Parts: sequence; C-alpha cells; structure tokens
Amino acid sequence: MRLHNACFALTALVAIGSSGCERQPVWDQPIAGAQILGMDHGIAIVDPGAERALLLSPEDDLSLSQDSFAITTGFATAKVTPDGSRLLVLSHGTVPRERADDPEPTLQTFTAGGGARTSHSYRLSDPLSGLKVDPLSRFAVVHASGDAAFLQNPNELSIVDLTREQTDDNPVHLTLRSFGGTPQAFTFTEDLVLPGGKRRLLVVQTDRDIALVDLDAPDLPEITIPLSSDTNKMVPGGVAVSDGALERDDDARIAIRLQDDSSVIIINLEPVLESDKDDTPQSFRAVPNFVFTDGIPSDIAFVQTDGGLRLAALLGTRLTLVNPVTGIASAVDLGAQEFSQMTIVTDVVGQTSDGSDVAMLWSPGKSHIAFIAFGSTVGQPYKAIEKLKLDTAVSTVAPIGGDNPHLRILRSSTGGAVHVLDLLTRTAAPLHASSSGAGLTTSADGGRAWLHQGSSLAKLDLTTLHPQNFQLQRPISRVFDVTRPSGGDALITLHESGLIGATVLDAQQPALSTARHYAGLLLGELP
Amino acid sequence: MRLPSFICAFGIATALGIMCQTANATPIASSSSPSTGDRRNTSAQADGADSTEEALAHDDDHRFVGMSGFRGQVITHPGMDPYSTGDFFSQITLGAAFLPLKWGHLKLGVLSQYDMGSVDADTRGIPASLSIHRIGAGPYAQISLGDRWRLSSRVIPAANYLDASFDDTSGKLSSQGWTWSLETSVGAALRLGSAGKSDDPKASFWLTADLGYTFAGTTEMSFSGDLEQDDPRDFGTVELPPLSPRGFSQRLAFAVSF
Repeated sequence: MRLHNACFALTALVAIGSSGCERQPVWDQPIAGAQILGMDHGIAIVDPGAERALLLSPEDDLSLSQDSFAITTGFATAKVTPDGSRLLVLSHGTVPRERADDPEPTLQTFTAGGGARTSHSYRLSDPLSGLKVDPLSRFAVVHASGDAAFLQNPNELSIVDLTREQTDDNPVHLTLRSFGGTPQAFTFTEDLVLPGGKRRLLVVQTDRDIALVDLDAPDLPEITIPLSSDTNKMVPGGVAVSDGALERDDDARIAIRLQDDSSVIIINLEPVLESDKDDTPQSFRAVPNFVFTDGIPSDIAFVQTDGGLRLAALLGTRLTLVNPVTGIASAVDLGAQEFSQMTIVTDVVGQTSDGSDVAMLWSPGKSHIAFIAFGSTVGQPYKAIEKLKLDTAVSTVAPIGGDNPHLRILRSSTGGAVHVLDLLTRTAAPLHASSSGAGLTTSADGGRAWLHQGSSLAKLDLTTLHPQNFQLQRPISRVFDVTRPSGGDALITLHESGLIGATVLDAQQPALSTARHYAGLLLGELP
Repeated sequence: MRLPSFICAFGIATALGIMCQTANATPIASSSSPSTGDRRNTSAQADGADSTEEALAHDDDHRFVGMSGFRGQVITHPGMDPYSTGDFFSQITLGAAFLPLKWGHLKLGVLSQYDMGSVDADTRGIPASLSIHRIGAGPYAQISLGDRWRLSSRVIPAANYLDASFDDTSGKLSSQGWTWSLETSVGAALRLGSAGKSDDPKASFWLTADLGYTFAGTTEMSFSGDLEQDDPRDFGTVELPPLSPRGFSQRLAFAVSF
C-alpha cells in the first residue's frame, strides 16, 4: 500500500508536470500568410501567425541583423513606401471589439537597420483592408477593399500623413460625397501650382465620378465631378496630370480616360469665381471639358510640343494630340503596328531641338517599339517616329534607376529572352536565358540586374552587359538588391519554403565562397 | 509564481511528504509481513530484532551501488517552449555510487550519474527536437531504516550538453551548447530482495524514488545550418530564446548494492 502511495504520487506529479504548464501559443502558429517586402536597407517579413514584422538588414560580413516588431492583431495587408524607408502594416485589431482594451484598427510604420529602429502607430476608425501609398512616400490612404463587415461605407477614407505622429488631425477620416459610386483607383499628384498656392491632390476614381481631395488640407470638403448621367455611365480608366507652365497657377489640368468611351475629360483647375468665393472653402474650382479622340484610348499623357501642351491619346495604330484649351485634335499615323502603352522619356533622352517631348510606345505581346518625337514638321504633327523591331514579343518593360536611367529591360512574353533597351542609342541588346519565366530584379543604383529561376542566379552588369552565373543549393523564390546600412550593397536571395531561408551575397562582388546562408528565419527573435 | 508552477511544487511537496511518512512509519519487523504459513517468515518474526539487525549489518557492508531508471523533470523555463508542448522532460538515468564512509546507519560517499533524454514537438509546422545529456558527480548519503528501507540524498553538480534541431524544408537547423546544473534531491529506497546468503547477501536489489530540484545555468540557443563535414557553406545564426534546464525533478530507478 505504501509503495502504491509512492507510485500514485509520482504519477500525479508526472501528470501535473506534463499538462500544467503550456507553451506560448506563438510556437503553435502556422507560418502561412507571411508577406515579404523589399526595403532600401533590407527586407521585411510580416509574420501574421506570430503577430510580428521581422526586419532583416545585411551587415558588413553579410550576416543579417534581425529586428522583430509586434504588430496589431488582425493583419490585413502591408506595403513599403516607394522610397523603401518604411514598412506599413495595416491591421483590423480585434473584431468585434468586446472589451475596452481590445486592439483597435491601426496603421503601423516600422523602420530598422544600422542599429536604429523606430515604430509609429496610427489609430483608425474602422477595420479596413485597402492601403494605397503615395509615390513620394508622404501619405497613405486606408480604404475599404472587399471587407466583410456587416455594414460598410465604401466611400470612407483615412488619410495618414506619415511624416507626422498621430494627432487629433492625423489621420483624417473623411467620407467622399458619392453619387452612387465607390472608389476604384487612387492617384497622388505631385505638387501642383494652384490658385491659393502649391498643393498636392488625391484623385479618387469611382465607377462613375471623380473626387479631388486636397492632401495639404484633407479636412476641407473634396471636389466631386460626376461623370455619368442616368442614361450614360462613364467609368474612369486612367489619369494624367499636368501642372502647366511653372509661372502660372491657373493652368493645371487633370485628364481622365474613360473605359469603353472615346471621350477624354480634361479638368481645368481654375481660380474660384469672385461670385462663389463666399460659398466655397476651396481656393480653386474644377472645370470639366469633354474632348473626343476618335477612338477609345488605351493610354493618355500630357506632352509638350512646339505648339504648346497637348494631350496625347494612344489609339492603337494612331495617336491623337488634343489641344486642351481649344479641344482641337490632330492625328498621328503610327503605321501598321498597334501600340497600347506610352511612356514619356524626355527626362532621359532630352527634349527635341524645339523643346518638345519624346515618348516611347510599346504593347504587351508585340515585338515592336516606337519612339516619337513631338513637334511638327511640314505637313505632319510630329518630328519623327523611330521604330525598333525585336525578335520576340515584349511582355513587360522594367525601368532602371540610378546611374543608368536610359536603360530599360524588356521581358519576353515567350521563352527566356531579355532585351536591354538603350533609349539614347535606340538599340536593344538581346540576352538569352536557358529557361522562361525567370524572375527579374534591378538594383537601386542602376548598375546591375539579377535574374533567377530554380536554383540558378545570374548577375547582369548593366554597363558592360556581362552576365555572371551562380548555382545555389536551394531554390530561389525572390531576390532583393539592397543597400547595407553601413555602406555597400548586398543581395538577399530568399528560399520561401518552410520557415524561410536566405542566401546573402555581396551584390557588387558576388561569390558563393563569401555568401552567408540562413535557414529557419521565422524562428528568430520570437519571445 | 504562475499557477501551474505552484501546482507542480505542491505536487512534489505532497509526494515527498507521502514518501517520508511511509518510510518513517515502516517498522523493521513488519516489513517481513507474515504470509500464509511461511515457516521462514514465522521464524524471522520469532527471532525478532536480533536477526534483523544482523541482516542489516551485512547489508550495510555494501559499498557500491549501481542504478538505472527513469528521471523526470518539470522545466517551466520559456526557452523550453520551442521544443516541447508541455514542460515535462523525461530521461533515462544511470548512476554509480561508492560509499566508503560509515557512521552507524549513515553511509557517505560519492555518486556519479548520467542522465539523457529528448523531447520533440511540432513547432510552427516544423519538427523540432531537443536532447539533453547531463553528466556529473557529487556527494551521496544513505541512512538505513530497518532492513528494507533507506533514505538518501544527493547534491550533484553536472555538465549539461543541449542539442536541439529543427527539420525545416529551408534547411535543417541545429544548435549545441553547454551549461551547468546542480541537482539536489532526497529519496527513499525499498529493498526488493537479495542474492546470496540471507545473513550475508552478496547483492541487494532496490527500488528507489527521489524528488528534488535541479538548478541550472542558461545557455544561448543559436541555430545555424546542420552541415556535412565537407560542406563549405557559411551559415548565419538564428537566435531562439535562451534555455535553462532547471526545475523540479523526480527519479524512479532500480538499484543494486554490493
């Protein structure tokens, strides 16, 4: 009986020890749903299961410094500001909030690298899922996007000034005046010289109207321009913006391309009429004009010609140039080839002799590229059209920054071909990859491009076009060419299987002998 | 103190109390309870204390003890979480004691012991495992309570080798490290039987049970790729929470003294 007592006690002790002390729940959380984003000094891995963001920065010895930040419950989406400095994480908080201390919907920002780490949090009014970031990295807009709340206002926006901490007037929560439409796309303008001073606008396209929000005074009522009537629904398809002449504050314009309609709406931003000044808090008014382009444009842009500013509308084999003041249009015949995309490349190739812009035309799935110099020669409304025929169809055009802004990388839609297009010499150097579908990344300094597929990795020197091939031991899913906080560049190749691994190479002098390898990154820095 | 830790401590204290009460209450003669008509037992009862004292004296001449069994430890340190869904860590245990000093029923000596155990779990969807090898030696004391029962205590400083791994598809990760520990425990032993002459047994067989607490240092758990010897790759480390294998422990073992 005594032995039984002892055994019973031991058994009880074992049972208590086995079941009484549970481990922290984070170790049971799956790793599904991790979102990986490149930043200027490293990469960010948002790990919703562990409710954290892991920021990884390469050091001098190619090791990865790891900073873990707690994120709010209910991860929705994450983005990095275009300058690469901040990670933005949008979270719903606890839904429904049943206790006062339940987490609220928030937008959090994180920076790390070089030993410094900062974080900010902006409280939001509703658990929304849409996040748009200003190309100039100052503002973020939180909006509804497929949220499944019982009752939802799709026209509700929260505008966050990322350069300021949370205050009573940051973020600004507003509801767009709606004529039945819901936001479809957002465009942040650069500084426009408008009546009342320089300001930036947020152009919100709904499925039937346009709203202009003054980002420098978002608490002012927005200007809404209805596009549709009861009988004619006009859905916006794209936006182009012109500040006009620098010395004038009454010639800024916004052009709106419509889906399935040959009209383009040009909104002139003019001074408020004297008679209306007491009735509106705005210092400018929006005056819409409809111009007809003789076809449904696939792309639009404001271009400078020797005759002044024109709106260029691309119509397949034609280009229509519209005078935004008079509405008079003139057509440019582009020949037999169709084009659907237009990019102004004047800042790279320079203006023509009479100060006109130069545009590059291309089309996904086509093997032709054209350069058109605007201006006029006798009998035609353009200076010159120069065409380039590739041996394969183009799927995407990737711009290069830094020291080589005159280069573009053209990806083939079939096979593994890549062309490096020189906008200055109008040549396209072909490069052949042994297999199709390779991933492509370019460095911020414009010095190199990286292609990867499977375990194969290649560095392409964009100055000499010399490729350098590497074979890693693990399949590569993505690569990031980043600047080390201490100087120099590093390449982080990710192996997105399991708990995520990485291989870090010196981006300027890559060698497998000096590479640093990692496995199980999502285990690191957990509590 | 967290509630589970309190429950664990309470459980150990309770068990210890039961054991001690059981040992102290055991009369020497009654340990040979009369069975149905067994003449030898009846004779032993008749001989009374003298024969028991004689057997006890011979048993006490044994200077060597070997033991093997099972050791359990409750490790509540959060560094244990990545490798185990609970806090109980089971080990096999081997020990050898040499008891050269004797004062009456008290014997003193040294005990060396080796404990080894492992635990595994599914961590974030990845198989994880941890092995701990503990080897140490320290003072060991026994006191005889009649011919069947003994109480013992030990204080064993030890070196602990921790070997952990994750079998991830991005690459197998492993971490190895050392730390110290100091096991303090008290226990009781029940003689199951003896070999040899009854008045001069060559060896006696025991069931032992110990309870105590193991103090331990903390070791960093830095994981890197588990590479073949000729693999030239240089792996960086991923830091997991440091681990201290400390906590209440218990041991159940079979021992032989000779």
